[in-house]
Amino acid sequence: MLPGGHLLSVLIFFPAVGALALLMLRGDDHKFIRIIALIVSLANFCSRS
Amino acid sequence: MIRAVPVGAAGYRLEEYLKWINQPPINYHLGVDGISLFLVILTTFLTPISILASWKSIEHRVKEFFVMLLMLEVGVVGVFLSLDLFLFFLFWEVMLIPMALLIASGARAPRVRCRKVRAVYHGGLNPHAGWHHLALQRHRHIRPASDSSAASYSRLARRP
Repeated sequence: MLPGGHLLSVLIFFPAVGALALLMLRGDDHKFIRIIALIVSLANFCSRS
Repeated sequence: MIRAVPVGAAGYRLEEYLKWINQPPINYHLGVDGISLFLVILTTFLTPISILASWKSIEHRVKEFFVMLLMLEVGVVGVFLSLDLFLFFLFWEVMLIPMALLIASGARAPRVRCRKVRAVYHGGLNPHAGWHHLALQRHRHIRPASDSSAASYSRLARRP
C-alpha cells in the first residue's frame, strides 16, 4: 500500500454506489432518480477538485 | 486531488498498489499524474452537465439511463487512473457496455440500433487487437527450448 490510502478507489467506485442506490429506487419516481444521480455526480466532481 | 498533484511535479501521485494475480503479473495499480488529473476532472465535470442536459429529454427508462450514465463515469475514470494494462482493459470494457446501451437506447429503429451498437463494439475491439499484438510480440521474443515448441511459437505468431 502506497501513500494516498484508498482515495482513488473511492473516487472511482463512488458513482457505482450511486448507481446501486438508483437501482433500489422505484422506477416511476423520475424526479427523485434524476436528483439522486445529479447529487452523486456533483459530489464526485467536488471531491475530486 | 488537485493539491496532491503540484504543478510541474513529475511522476504519479496518490498511487494504490495491491497484488492481484501472481502469474501473469496482474496488479490493482492506480495513480494520477498531471495529464490524467485534467482528464478525470473533465470527465467528472461533464457528467453532471450531461445529467442536467438530459433532465427533460429522457422520459422512457429513466432509471436505467442514469444508472448507465453513472457506470459510464466509473469506466472512464477507471481508464484514466489505471496503471496496469489488464486493469485498463477491464475498465475499458466496463465503459463500453453502458456506452453501447446508451447509444442503442437513443435509436428508435431496431436496425439503426444494431448498427450503432456494432459501431461501438468495433471501436472497442481496437484494444483487443492491441492486446493480441502485444501477446504475439512477447511470444516472438521468447526463445523456446526445443524445436517443436519453436514451431508452435512460430505458428502462434503467424496466426492472424
